[in-house]
Amino acid sequence: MAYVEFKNVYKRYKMGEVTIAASDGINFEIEKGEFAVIVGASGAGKTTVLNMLGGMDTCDEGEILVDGRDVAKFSKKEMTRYRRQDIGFVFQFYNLVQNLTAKENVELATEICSDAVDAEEVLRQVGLGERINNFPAQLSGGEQQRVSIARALAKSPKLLLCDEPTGALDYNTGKTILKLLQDTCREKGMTVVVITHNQAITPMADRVIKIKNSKVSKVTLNDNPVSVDTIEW
Amino acid sequence: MKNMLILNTLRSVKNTKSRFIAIMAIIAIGCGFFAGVKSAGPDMKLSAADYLDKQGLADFHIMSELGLDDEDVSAAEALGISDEIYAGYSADIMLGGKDENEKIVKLYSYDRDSGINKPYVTDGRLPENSGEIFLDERLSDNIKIGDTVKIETGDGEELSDIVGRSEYTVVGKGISPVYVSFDRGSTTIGNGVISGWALIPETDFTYEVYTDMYISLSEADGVDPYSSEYEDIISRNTNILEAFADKQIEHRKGVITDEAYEEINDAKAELEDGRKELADAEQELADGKKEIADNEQKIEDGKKEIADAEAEIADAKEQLADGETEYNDGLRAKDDLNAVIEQLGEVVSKYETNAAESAAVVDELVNELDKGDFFSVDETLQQLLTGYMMIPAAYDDGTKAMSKQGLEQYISGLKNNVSEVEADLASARAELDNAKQEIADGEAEIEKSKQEISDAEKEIADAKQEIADGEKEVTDAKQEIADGEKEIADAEKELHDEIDDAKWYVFDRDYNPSYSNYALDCDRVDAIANVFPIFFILVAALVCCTTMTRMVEEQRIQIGTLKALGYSRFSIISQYVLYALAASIPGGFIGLLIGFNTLPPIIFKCYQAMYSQPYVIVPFRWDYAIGCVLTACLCTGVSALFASRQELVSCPAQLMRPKPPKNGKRIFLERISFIWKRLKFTTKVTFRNLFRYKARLFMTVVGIAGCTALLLTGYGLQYAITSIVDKQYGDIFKYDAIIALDKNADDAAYASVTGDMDSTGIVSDKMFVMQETVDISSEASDKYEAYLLVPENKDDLSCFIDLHERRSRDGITLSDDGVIIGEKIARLLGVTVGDSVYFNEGYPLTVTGICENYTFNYVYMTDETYAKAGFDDSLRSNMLLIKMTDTSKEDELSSAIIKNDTVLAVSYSSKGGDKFRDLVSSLSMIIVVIIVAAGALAFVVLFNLSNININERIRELATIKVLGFYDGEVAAYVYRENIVLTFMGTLAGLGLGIWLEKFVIKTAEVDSVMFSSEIPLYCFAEAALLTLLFALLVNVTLYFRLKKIDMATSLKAIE
Repeated sequence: MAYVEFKNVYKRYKMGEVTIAASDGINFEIEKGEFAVIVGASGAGKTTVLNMLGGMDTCDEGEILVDGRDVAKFSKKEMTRYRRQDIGFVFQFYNLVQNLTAKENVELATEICSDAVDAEEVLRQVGLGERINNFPAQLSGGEQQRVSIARALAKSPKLLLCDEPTGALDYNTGKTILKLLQDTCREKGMTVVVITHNQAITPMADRVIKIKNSKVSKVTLNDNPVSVDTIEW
Repeated sequence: MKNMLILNTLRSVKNTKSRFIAIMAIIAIGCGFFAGVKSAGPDMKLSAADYLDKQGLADFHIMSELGLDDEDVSAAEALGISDEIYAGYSADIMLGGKDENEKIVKLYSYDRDSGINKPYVTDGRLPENSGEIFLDERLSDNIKIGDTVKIETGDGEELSDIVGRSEYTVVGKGISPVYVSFDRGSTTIGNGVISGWALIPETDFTYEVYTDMYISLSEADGVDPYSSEYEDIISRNTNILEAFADKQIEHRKGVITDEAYEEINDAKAELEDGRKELADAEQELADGKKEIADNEQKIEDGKKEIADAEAEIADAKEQLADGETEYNDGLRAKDDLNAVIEQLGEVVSKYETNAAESAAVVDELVNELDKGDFFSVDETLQQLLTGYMMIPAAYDDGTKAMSKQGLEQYISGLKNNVSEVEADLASARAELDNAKQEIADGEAEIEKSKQEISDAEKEIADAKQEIADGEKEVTDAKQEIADGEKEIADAEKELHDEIDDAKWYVFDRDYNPSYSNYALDCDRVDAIANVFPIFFILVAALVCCTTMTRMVEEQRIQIGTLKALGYSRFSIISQYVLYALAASIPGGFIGLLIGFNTLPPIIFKCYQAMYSQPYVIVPFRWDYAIGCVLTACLCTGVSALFASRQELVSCPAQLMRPKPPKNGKRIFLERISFIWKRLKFTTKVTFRNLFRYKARLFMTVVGIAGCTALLLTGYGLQYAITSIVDKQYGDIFKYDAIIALDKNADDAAYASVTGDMDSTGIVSDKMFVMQETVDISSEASDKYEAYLLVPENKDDLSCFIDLHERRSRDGITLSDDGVIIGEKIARLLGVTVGDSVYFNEGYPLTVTGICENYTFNYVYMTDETYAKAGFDDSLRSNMLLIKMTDTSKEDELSSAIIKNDTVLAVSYSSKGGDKFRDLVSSLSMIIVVIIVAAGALAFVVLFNLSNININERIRELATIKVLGFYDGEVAAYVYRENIVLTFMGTLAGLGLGIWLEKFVIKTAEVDSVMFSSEIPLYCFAEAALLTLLFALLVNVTLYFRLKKIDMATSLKAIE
């Protein structure tokens, strides 16, 4: 059994008279330790998948299995615990608390997590050993995203979910961030799910899940994923 | 183009409903509270003015010592300043009903045609016919309409001199504009306290002249009686009326002088007659006396004669007794002689037979004769006896010689002697009988004269009594005449005094103290009104500012877009200003409507406990309304204007990019690393966040502080007022009762009171004191009225009144060096210990102590100080302070002493505060208003600011939710800041509240009362807890909002 499994997942939104299915029978699997990329155009339904996978939203139908447990059947509280313990989230706009230093932003996560990694240690791992005590405003976009990643990693999550992690970054910085994510996956055996509209980065993934019109249109397994460095877009 | 903007504005109203409503609510509360409280004072004045105008309260009330007559009235009318003048009567009488004890009532005449001083009828109707009476609503609940009441005079005068009848039927009850408060004034009859007023038809009065004249000025018609215009009119007309009064008094003077002189002359003539009569009487009296003296002399003579006669009779009686004895002796001698003769005869007969024998018999006879006592009878008998004595001798000799013949001769001689003796005896008998008769006659005569004398004596005694009476009468008559003369002299003098000094009293409305107090109270409400609502509107304005600014900031992208599309700055700005006005104007008017219509009636209701003002008018005050709404619009509009202008400075491109979030900053506390290091992570975050949004921190603290301060003021005010009763009658006045005594009564009467008291056995201690009203002033101040209290014994005073300094609670001892004065009066006078105060504008005394005192102003001094101070009256105790063994037996004590005429009144400390309790109950409503308002303020401020807080940080909150914070943890993340702010605000509010409470108390305090200045801890606790409760309430509502935050927000781009 796969580590992550979507089985016939439906998510529908009612817009007045019309019902729009944001997820229209989604099926896919991700194995443990894989670097998976969910790719699709804007409005294809990537974010809905991410929300459901991240325990931020529920599905109307189907099963979402993560490490053998059906997330779709979680209560609100279990969902929160799931986010708290099992999920690390990296946002497109970093979502750092502006009023907290880099270290404190990481601590915001470790505070609530039972088997958290030391905040400074994680920051050093993401290459911000020198900027621990800087406020987000004093950091560049890439550095901020690193803090964001550190915050997600510090919890030692089962899943690292990244929503357009390079979306707000320039090309080179975006690359280094992807590299960091790939390295984390390889070195720590972390299951990483990256959501992006950027088709170009698919070669670096172990598994590519293409979403189109709220459905999984194609799942590609990449036996020889390339390093980020070799990818150009 | 414009329409699109308006549409957009309307849309944004719809989309930001909660913000829009919040702004509206804040504006409504601010405006409503401000306008409501602010208009309370003017509304009360307006209501009073309206009521007084409708009831036609006279502008002037004129009284004359000489009364007023029709000529006076027409002269006053001729002045041309009045549109109506009513001349009527008034008298203080006693009124009692079936179920009601007699009360002192001020009886007024009522003329249905007059529009002046019309009572406000609350029940029944006004009197129309003779025998109908209209009563003061507050006089008695026991007297019902239709009841019959009896009236009588209270000072022994004839009722018929005042009114024509003594029984009246109650036809109605009401309120009089003349009596603004519940004080009905005082009088000289009964216990001196007037309980109420009553109206009867004018025609029922029997007075010859009017007692009062009421003038309604034509100039003052429609003029607000509390305005300075009215004051000007009054002062101008006062001058006119006073000048007129000085002139017009001469009229009555003339009339009265004429009448009086007529009377005086009559009296003088009477006196003259009296004098003449007196002289006659005196002459008669002298004659009578002389006659008595003569008669007495005569009696004296008669008495002497009687005495002489009596002495004579006594002599005669004695002689008679002697005579009788002699006579009896004579009779006996005669019998003896006869026996001798008989025997001698026998001797003679036997002589022949036996001479010898005869001789023996003769011897025996002689012996017998020897033994017989004949000598005392009388001379005749003596002679006889002597003759007889010679017989034996002769016989002896003769026996030998004497013959029978001689003997017979001798016997016949003896017989002759006997007949002589008998004749003598008979005559003696006759004489004796005569003498007896004479004596009896004499005695009878004496008896008669004695009777005559005693009669005469009685007559004389009567005559003397008559004379004595007559003399007394004469003396009395003389006294009477003297009195009469004095009376006439006095009357003449009095007439002159009275007439010379007589004047008219011209009273304007201010002369009635409760009338001016009402205005003062209205001003006081106004003063309080200035503090609270400005505070409110300030907070409201600040909150609106932040909200509007926040809104403009939130919509920067829209602003940028519009600008990029080519909209003018004016259009863009006007959109936000429009939004602000759309919230402010309706909000303001809603608040105003509620405020105008609720707060003044509530505050008015409180004051109704003290003033008889039957209704309140609550107009919509456009001046306040426009002011409030304008202020509100300015606050919101200007902040919208400035915020949007500020945004518009930036170029559209910049605007369309997200505004860089406010940078994080290190706070001061972090520099103190040994504290910072020890803080929990969450605490650190809280501190950071607190100082991140300084404006909001400031706003929240101010809002909360305002709420706490208001609450503290409310509770503090309540304590300040309610506690003084217990303090005054518990901590300071230790006595249980105070008994007012008639100071004209003598010591024996006083002793009888204490005796009555002691007999109950429930009085444990007592002391006489003197209490009187004095004027007290200092160098720097006006004069104030105060009660002077002089204890009989200064050392015992502490048992009854605990004089102590308020703060230190150190006792103050009353000494002969000076006076101890209450704290409030000391404050009013601006004196401290060692300064001088002046009594009745003359006698300086040193202040030796300032004691805690709350109700009325008291001044204490010893009897020695009193004597030194040079008061007009000498010291005479007129009160008795009582301590009881059992205060529950008040009724027993009352019934024991109240019958004593010396006791004027008994009042118990337990009931001492009744007067203030009314005040307190009226204020508690105001306090409820304050609490509700404070609560609303706290809620709105906290809710709005928290709302902004959440909106501003919604992304952050969504993020931490994604990070896996439980709902509770998310809430705590926000609440920690709120809690800290609430605590900070509460603390600041407590500080601010102390100041605010002091200010309000200072504004609300009257001269005769000192409110407690300290605020007890529980007030702080209550204020703080209630604030926290409000804060909690807000946080609970926020919790649901936090729960609803969509985590997906965190994924969106920054707007």
